[in-house]
Amino acid sequence: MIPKWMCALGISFISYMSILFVIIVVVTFQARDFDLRRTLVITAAYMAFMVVYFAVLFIVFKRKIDAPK
Amino acid sequence: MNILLMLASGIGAVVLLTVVACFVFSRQILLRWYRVRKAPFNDPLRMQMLKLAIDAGMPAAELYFVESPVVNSFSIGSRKNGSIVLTTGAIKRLSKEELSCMMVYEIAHLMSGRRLEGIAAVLAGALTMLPIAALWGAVFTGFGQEYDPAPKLIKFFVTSLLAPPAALLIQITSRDSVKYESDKYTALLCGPDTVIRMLSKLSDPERWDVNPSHASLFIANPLTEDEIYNTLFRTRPSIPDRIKRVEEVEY
Repeated sequence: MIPKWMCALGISFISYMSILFVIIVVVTFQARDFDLRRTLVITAAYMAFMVVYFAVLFIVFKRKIDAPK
Repeated sequence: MNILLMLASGIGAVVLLTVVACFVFSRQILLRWYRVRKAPFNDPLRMQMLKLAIDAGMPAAELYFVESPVVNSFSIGSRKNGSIVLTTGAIKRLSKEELSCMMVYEIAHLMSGRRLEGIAAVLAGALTMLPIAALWGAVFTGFGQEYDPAPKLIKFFVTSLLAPPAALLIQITSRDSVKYESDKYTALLCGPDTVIRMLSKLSDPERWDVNPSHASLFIANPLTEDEIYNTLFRTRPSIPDRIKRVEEVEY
């Protein structure tokens, strides 16, 4: 059984991914061209930040919420 | 590009001002948030609190009341400049000894300092208010009524983005050891039996709709865990666990 706080983080991760989609759409519309390389760079930078951010969230919540009180 | 730069500096200035205001006025903001009223000068509870503060060897904290049927309380501020807020539900439903216990608990919390927690609560509280603003924004821009699925979905989406950083701020500033020590201190001063009676009245099924970011300031968690994002703001051990620990205290 997955704890509720982990489900919450999972949903948040999906929400943050939708922001990435919006960023790519905006950049593509502004440039009026789909550039795969630019999109990959944006995705890689965004995902790298997200992985670090969610790792920090996971570690803190695991220690604080899951710890035996 | 210039417009983007101006927009970014505007947002930056607003964020900076908010942070500075939170540092300086966190206590006043929280007291206003819950529309508390100050205890009258000759109120017996205020006198009792003054006596307890003198016994604990700390400057007297200010006592406030807030309208709520729930048995709960919270404290904010520092050792020198603290405020204790009791709900009207607590005043009605707790005995004099149990109310003393509640105030001793809050005094113990203030003695260890709660300024940082208060600042974090206000900052995170501002973040957790934005989903409500998004809900009403959606309602007023024609997405439907507040009970329709579209505004609710928008609120949930904004919550999913903002609740994790707000909860992170709350979790890193809350200290578990202080909570256990405050329970222990209260048990030593008031006796474990009275503390257990007071704690069992806190495990009330009735819940109070407070900002999730402020839950860590309360003596008992006022949030329901039906809402999935409320679990991120859980900073307190459960009431049965606290009762178990108090039972172990030698009086």
